[in-house]
Amino acid sequence: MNREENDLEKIKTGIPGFDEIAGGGFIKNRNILVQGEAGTGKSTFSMQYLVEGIRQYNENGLFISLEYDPIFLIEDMKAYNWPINEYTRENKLSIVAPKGGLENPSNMNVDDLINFIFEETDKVNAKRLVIDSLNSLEFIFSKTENYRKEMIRFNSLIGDLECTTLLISELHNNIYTYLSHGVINLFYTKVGANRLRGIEVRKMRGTQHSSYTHAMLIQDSTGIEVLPTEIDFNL
Amino acid sequence: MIILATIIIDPFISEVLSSINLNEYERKAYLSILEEGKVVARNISRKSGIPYAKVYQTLDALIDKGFILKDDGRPKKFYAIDPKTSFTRRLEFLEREWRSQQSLREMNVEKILPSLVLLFNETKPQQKTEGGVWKIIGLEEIFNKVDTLMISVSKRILITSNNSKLINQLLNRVYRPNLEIIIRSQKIPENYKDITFIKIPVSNSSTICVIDEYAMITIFEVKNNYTAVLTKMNEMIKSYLSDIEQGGE
Ligand SMILES: Nc1ncnc2c1ncn2[C@@H]1O[C@H](COP(=O)(O)OP(=O)(O)OP(=O)(O)O)[C@@H](O)[C@H]1O
Ligand SMILES: [Mg+2]
Repeated sequence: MNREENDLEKIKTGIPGFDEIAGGGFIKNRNILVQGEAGTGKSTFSMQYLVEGIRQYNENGLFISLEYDPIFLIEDMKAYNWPINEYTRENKLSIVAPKGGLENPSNMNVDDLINFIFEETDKVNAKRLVIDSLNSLEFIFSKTENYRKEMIRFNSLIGDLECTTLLISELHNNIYTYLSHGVINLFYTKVGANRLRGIEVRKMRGTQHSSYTHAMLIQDSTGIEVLPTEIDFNL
Repeated sequence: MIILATIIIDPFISEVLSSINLNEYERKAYLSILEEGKVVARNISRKSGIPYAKVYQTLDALIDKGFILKDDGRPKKFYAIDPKTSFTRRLEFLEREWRSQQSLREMNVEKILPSLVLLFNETKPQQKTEGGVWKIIGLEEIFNKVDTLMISVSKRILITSNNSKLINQLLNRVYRPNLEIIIRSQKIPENYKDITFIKIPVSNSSTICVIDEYAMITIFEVKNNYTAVLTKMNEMIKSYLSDIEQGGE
């Protein structure tokens, strides 16, 4: 069985400096949790992951935006000079919100959402998938009889799409920390009068990765860059 | 986007699969796998049009029903078992299932039949009745009548007889726990509990069975032919009163 090999197959994110601290990148076709408080750069990190996938690795991407209108998301990212519109036109990238619209997610159940994601990955032949964010799924899951079981089912169905998936979460230590094959923590922490950005590979199964929290920058035109230097917020 | 191969929409194949209890999704998934060989769930969903969220439970059902198997890779790949094997096993399974359903049906029919027969006997049109007095011919009919009367018994049975065989037969039919049973006879049978026996000289010519205070059956035996007269006090009174109303008497 070639299972062991598959377990270790990696894909590079293409985000400058990140793959070096993550032991080569993400585990292919697995779910990775990207967590951090508001404004820590989760959406930016994830969009860059999709853009670099297309630009460098010929892997198409799908961004499922569950709480934010795709139009605003695209506007927010304008400063980075990513060819988002071009990729969208070429059907390499798709940024979508669920069918019912963001105003009325209450109409959607877990099955609808799973089917929606499946159909959308199919449309662009996505190899990279971002679900932004799990927090907005809480509402959909809370309508089900067995919350935990449904979450596990969702995770496993998404995991079988043959996409390398980033699940974005604002909460730390939710059930996905255990279900995911990797966990990335993002920080934007006050140090004196300033705030500093940091990124940590908290978990990456079967991988030797950096155990440090690394400094991270978000800059005009280039977007995110992870530095090899560790950062100490207690300075 | 969905490519339906001809076999998937063949109505006869579909009908036969449905007759062995494969639902629409299961039929489509099974035929897709037959056509594709080894295939992951996502592609089965693509090919057959089964919603992705439903495809795993559909495939699990097909595994349970013995049509396909899965390997333990990730994502899991599904493949068909030789149809000869799976269909033979499926038919055998359905036959066993049918048999057990049938025997359950038979058991249940057995349970309800006596009360239906009682009802039927009660309302049988050819019974001769005359003002609360019935004449009943034949032991079988007599016992049927006793069974009917026993439906509404509440307190007590009184049997007066010297015919111990008949006493036994009657006891078999009327015995209920919590029911007072009194037997008046010259000979006392031995193997009954909870029954009051009163040893007393009794006529040999008839057997009398009194059910509560509303029915009395008097059974006569002539050369193994049994006849009985049933009297019901309330019926007698009813009949008498209706006669009066019609100006009869
Ligand atoms: N052009 C830019 N140059 C530098 N930093 C920027 C630029 N644009 C946005 N930022 C920073 O990125 C932050 C937003 O990042 P992002 O939207 O990815 O965070 P997030 O973790 O997804 O937040 P939320 O939880 O609110 O969705 C902004 O608050 C800002 O600090
Ligand atoms: Mg965001």
